[in-house]
Amino acid sequence: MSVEERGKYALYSVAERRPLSCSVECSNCREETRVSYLELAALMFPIHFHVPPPLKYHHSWFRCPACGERTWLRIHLDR
Amino acid sequence: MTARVVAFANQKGGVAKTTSVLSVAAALQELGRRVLAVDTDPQGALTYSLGIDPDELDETVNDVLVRRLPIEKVIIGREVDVVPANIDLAGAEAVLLTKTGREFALQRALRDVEREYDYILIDCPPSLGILTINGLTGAGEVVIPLICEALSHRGVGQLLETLEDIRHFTNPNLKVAGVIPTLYDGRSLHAREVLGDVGSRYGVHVFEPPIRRSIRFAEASRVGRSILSFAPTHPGADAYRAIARQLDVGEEVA
Repeated sequence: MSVEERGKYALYSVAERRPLSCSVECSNCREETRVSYLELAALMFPIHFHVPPPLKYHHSWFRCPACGERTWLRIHLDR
Repeated sequence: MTARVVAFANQKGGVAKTTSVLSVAAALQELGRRVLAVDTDPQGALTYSLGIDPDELDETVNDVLVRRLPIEKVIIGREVDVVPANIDLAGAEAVLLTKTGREFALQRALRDVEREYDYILIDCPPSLGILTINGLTGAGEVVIPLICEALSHRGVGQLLETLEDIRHFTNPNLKVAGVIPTLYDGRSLHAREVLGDVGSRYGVHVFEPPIRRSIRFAEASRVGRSILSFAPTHPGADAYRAIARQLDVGEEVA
C-alpha cells in the first residue's frame, strides 16, 4: 500500500477492522467500540436478549464495553 | 417516512456550497417540505448566513459529534432550521480520528431527527477530511456545486474518487444527485465550454439553469437571509427554485 493510500485509509476506522471482530454501538453512551467475537461473547455473559433488527435499531441487550451498562446495543458485523 | 439526506460537497473552497445549501433549503421549504440544514464547516458560513453569530454559540455540531449531545438540543430555528457550527469544530477532526466508527458520527446523530424532516441538507467543509467523510457517509445523495472554470473542474475527479472510497468503506448506496454550476458567466466562452464538458466527462447530471454570479447572494448572507427571501424575484432565486424542484422529483444519476 502506498503512503498516499495509507494516509487516505487512516480516515476510515472500517479500514482498521481485524479478523473475527465487529463493532457495537451503545444506545446509552452512543459510543461505538470494536470488539473481538470472544470479547462479544464475554459481554453477553451470563444473560442477553435479541430482537429482530427491523423492529429495533439497537437490537441486542447486553453489557456495553464503553460505559459498562447493561443496555440496548447494535452489533455491526460489517464494521 | 425518513428524510432524504443530501450532502453538498466539493473540496475546493469558494464554489458557493453554502449559498447552494441555504438557497436549495429555502426553495424546498417554499415547496412545503420540512428542511434541516447542517453546518459541518468550522468556518460556520452557513450558520452566519442564517443570521447567527457563530462565536456566540455554546453548543454546536461539534458537541454532537464529539460529546454525543443529542442533535435536537443544538438545532436553531431560523428561516431554515439549522444545526450550527463554529471554529470549535476544527478540533473535532483530531478527536474523531481516535474513535471507532468515526465515519458514522453524523449518521448516528441524524437518526434522532430523520423522521421530523423531509430533507436534511449537509454543508460539507472544503476539504476531504473526516468531517466531509461524515457528511458523505450520513447522506444518501451528494450534490456538487462547481464553478465553471477549468481548475474547479479538475477537483471533481478527485471528489468522485473520494465518493468511490465512501461507497467501498461506509456507504455503498451513495448516489450523485448532480452538479450545480455556480458563479456562471454566460458571456464567457470558457464557462460555456466547461459547463458543456462536465456532464459528459464525469457522467453526472447537471442541474439547470446555471447559477449566475451576482452580488445579491453576498448581500443576502450579510443580513442573514437566503436569496429567496431577500430578493424573491432575482434570477438567482428562480434558478435555485428550479434546481430544488429537480431535486425534489428525484432526478438522480448513480
